[in-house]
Order: sequence, then structure tokens, then C-alpha cells
Amino acid sequence: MSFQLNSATSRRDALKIGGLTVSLGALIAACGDDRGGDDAPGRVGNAPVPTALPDYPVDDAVLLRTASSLEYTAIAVYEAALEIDGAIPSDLVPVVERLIEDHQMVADQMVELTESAGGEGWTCSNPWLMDRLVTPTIELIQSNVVGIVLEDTSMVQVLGDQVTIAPVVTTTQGDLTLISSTDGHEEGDEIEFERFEGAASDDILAFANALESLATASHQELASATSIVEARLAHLEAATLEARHSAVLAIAILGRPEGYISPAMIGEDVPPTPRGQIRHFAIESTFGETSQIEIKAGPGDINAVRVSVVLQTPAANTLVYNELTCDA
Amino acid sequence: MDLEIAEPATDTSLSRRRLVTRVGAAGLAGLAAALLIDRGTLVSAVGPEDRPGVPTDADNVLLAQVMTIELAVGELYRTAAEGASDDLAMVADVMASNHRAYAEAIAGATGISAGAADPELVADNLDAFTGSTTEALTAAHALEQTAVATHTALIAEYESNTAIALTASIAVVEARHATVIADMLGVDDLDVLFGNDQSPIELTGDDA
Repeated sequence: MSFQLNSATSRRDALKIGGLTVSLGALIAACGDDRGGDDAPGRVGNAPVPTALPDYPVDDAVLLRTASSLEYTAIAVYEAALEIDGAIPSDLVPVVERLIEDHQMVADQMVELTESAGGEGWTCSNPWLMDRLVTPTIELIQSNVVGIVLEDTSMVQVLGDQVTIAPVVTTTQGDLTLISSTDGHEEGDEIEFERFEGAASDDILAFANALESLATASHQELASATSIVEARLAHLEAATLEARHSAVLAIAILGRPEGYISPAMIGEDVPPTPRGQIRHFAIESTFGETSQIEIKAGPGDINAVRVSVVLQTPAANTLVYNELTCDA
Repeated sequence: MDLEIAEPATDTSLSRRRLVTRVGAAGLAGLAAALLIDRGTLVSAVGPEDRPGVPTDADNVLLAQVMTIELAVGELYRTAAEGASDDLAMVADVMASNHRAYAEAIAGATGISAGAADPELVADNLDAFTGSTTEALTAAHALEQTAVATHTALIAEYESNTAIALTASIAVVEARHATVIADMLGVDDLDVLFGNDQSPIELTGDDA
């Protein structure tokens, strides 16, 4: 049969050739020895090659350094709170001073255990927690209420209400004192008000209580994670001490008997406070929980929505690895 | 890390005297032992990856004793709740349920039936728990503190991850119980609210 360059290929021929090609391809692929290929995720486009993260070991010293970093973080928060005017009610100042002493005692103990375990004691706060949790939360707590000037520039939207701009404006949550000037505003301008009386203090105490519960949960986890018997004992001692701290703060915040036991333990709802803060009680669960702890911090936005702050027990990013130093 | 790795305890046949000695010694050391660390003498057991997951026979001996204590405390609270005012009854009910849950959790972890409460503990405290509110709260505070001290002393003895984790999760809530009860008693001494001067219960043997 002569080969005809321009011969037309029928539809039937095309299907036959296509099917044969696919079948042969599959057969060859199935018979191959090395069918593994690259395990790395596929990359699209021209991007730089990612740098592999360093693989720092997590040993007992790292766990103990992390524990002391949590204690120093709590101390930093309490010392900052004492510096903020009115943040700690005067009757609670001796309690806070005692909390600082207790955290320093536990920190010293964790440092000593770290050194006994062959590590270098960590004597400063947890850098990740300070940068990502403590500093932003304290800033939020100290921030003013912000409103937005409306199209009618004599009006402002603040905490979900639209009110006339005045030295004192009345919202559904209470009266707010204006910090900005009362005139010369344009639509969309932000104007500031002082927070409600006691609001910053409420937030600081809620944050302190959450930190104590976080420290409790962290030591509870570390008691299981360590391989050193003395550290296991020390972590449980610290966990029970800080659980007591949390209980005292919960009662101070919510009062008695309201602060004793979470209504959830008897099947009831736990509504937030009138200012939208999440209530945390002295006893909230049957067993010590290590799940995340949530509070609200700072004033509500123009729609009265408050920022959630979530505290979590130490994980890969909060561990204080042996390669870290306090002055780094 | 340069630590001597001790072999996990394989001798699970603890004698009564040895058990009492071990727990008693840990208890007497108490807080002070945890705070005064003799450098270079840290005892390394095994990490969580190498520990048995479920309680060992030695753990079961201790946990069986703890279970009877938790049942006893729960029973005492239940008795106190029956004649108490509303607020006190609610607190006593919750605490009774918690202690009962601890006993059940131990039963679940060990496979040991949640049997009878420690009769001696019940007998020793029944009058106080059925007495005045102050008497009941005072006795309850002492018992919660004792329970925390007992768990704390025992956590150094356990060999399995379950026993360690369960004990830690119980002790932290019992510490909260104690603080709440102290507050109900009107205590404002921070040493009492934050401290614990109770000794652990001396376990009486391995035949529970």
C-alpha cells in the first residue's frame, strides 16, 4: 500500500490510535520500577525555594525553660497592670503582689530544674507570647473607644449607636466622655471617647485570670510531658497553685457566690457580662482542661463588637528552645 | 541532656509497708521537696513516648486506693447537700458529682470496679459534714486539701501516661474546690487560699 501524505484519517482511525496510545502508556507506567516521584508539594510560578525550618530538639530543658518563661510572662503582665492607673482595684493590690511573689517562686524553681537537667535557665518572659499576646492585649485594654463621624457630621456611630456628638454621649451601654473636639469633623473621621469607668480594670482582671488558667493548663500538660520525676512533681505543684490563683481572681471578678461555679456545670447557659466579657468561674469543669481560653479585650468597635483574645498552652511556636537566649 | 535513665519499675508487688513508706515520704517532703532541689540528683524516669499508656499493676494498686478516697469525699458531699441551703447544696452537689466522676474515671482507666467508699474516711468526717455549715465547710476544705496533697505525692510514683495525666487533671480542679470552700468560709488569708498545709493520706495497702 502506498503511503499517501495527504490521506484523510477517518474518525474511526483516530479513536483507534488514541485508545492504543493511552493503553500502551498506562501499561508502560504500571511496569516501571521507580514510580515514586517527588514528595514535595507542587510549585507553580517562579518563586524562591523555601528555606527549611530549623529542627530544634524539644527536651526536658526546653519544657522547663518554657515553664519559667510563662511565669516571667505572668510577672510582666502583673507589673504592667500595677503601672496602669486604676487597672488593679486597691483591695486587690496585695493579692497581685502575692501573685507576683508566687510566680517568681515557681520561676526560680523551674530555672533551677532547668539547670539541673543540663540546660540554661530561662529568666525572662516568653518572647512569642509577649509579642503576639501580651503587648497587643495590654494595648487593646488601654485603647479608647472610637466612633466614626456620620454623613450628618453632628452625629457619630459609636458602640453600635448613632448619637449626637457632645462632650458626653449616651449609648445603650452607658455614658461616654468625648476626648476629641466636638466640632470641625468630616464624614468618616474617627473620634475618641474614654472607656467606661472600670472597663480597663475589668479587662485586666479577666486577662490575669485567663493567664492563671493558661499557666495551670500548661503546667498540667508539662507534668505529663517531662521525663524528670522532680519536674513532674514541680509542675503539678505549680498547676495547683495557679489554679488557686485563678479561682481567687474569678471570685474577685464575678463576686460571691456567682464566681464559684460555672452555671454550665449544672446545665445552664453562661451569658457574657453586660459589657460583653466572657465569664470565667473558679470551677468551670470537672477535670482540668487544657483547651484554649478566650476573653474579650478593649472597647467594642463602632458596631459594639469586641476583640477576642485566645490563649493556648505552649506549642511549637511558644516553646523556649535551647537555642534561644533572653537577650536575643 | 546528660541524665541517668532509670529502668521503669518492674516489681509491681508493693508491700503495704513499702507503699506507706513511699507515699508517706513523698507527702512529708511535700511542697518543700519540690522547692528545694538538690542539683545533680534529678531522677529521670522515661518520657511520655516510652511510658506505658495504660496504668501498670503498680499504678492500679495506688489508683484503687485513690478511687475509694474520691468515692468517700463524694459521698460526704452528697450527704451534706441533702440538708444544706440552696447555694451550699448546689456547690456540694457539683463537688459530689466531680469526685464521683474522678472515681469513675479511675475505674475506667484501670478496669477496677468503682466499689465502696473508704469507710474510715466517711466515718471520720460524717459528723462534720452533717453538722453546721461552718463545720461542713471546714471539713470539706481539709479533705480537698488532703486530696490535692495525696495526688501530688502520688504523681511522682505513677508509671503510665494515663495515671499521670488523669491525676494532674483531677488535682487542679480539687485545688479550685479548696479555694472556693475557703472563700465560702470567709478566709482572706492568702497563705490559706493559695497554700496547702495538709499531708497526703497514707495508703493502707495493696488489697483494695
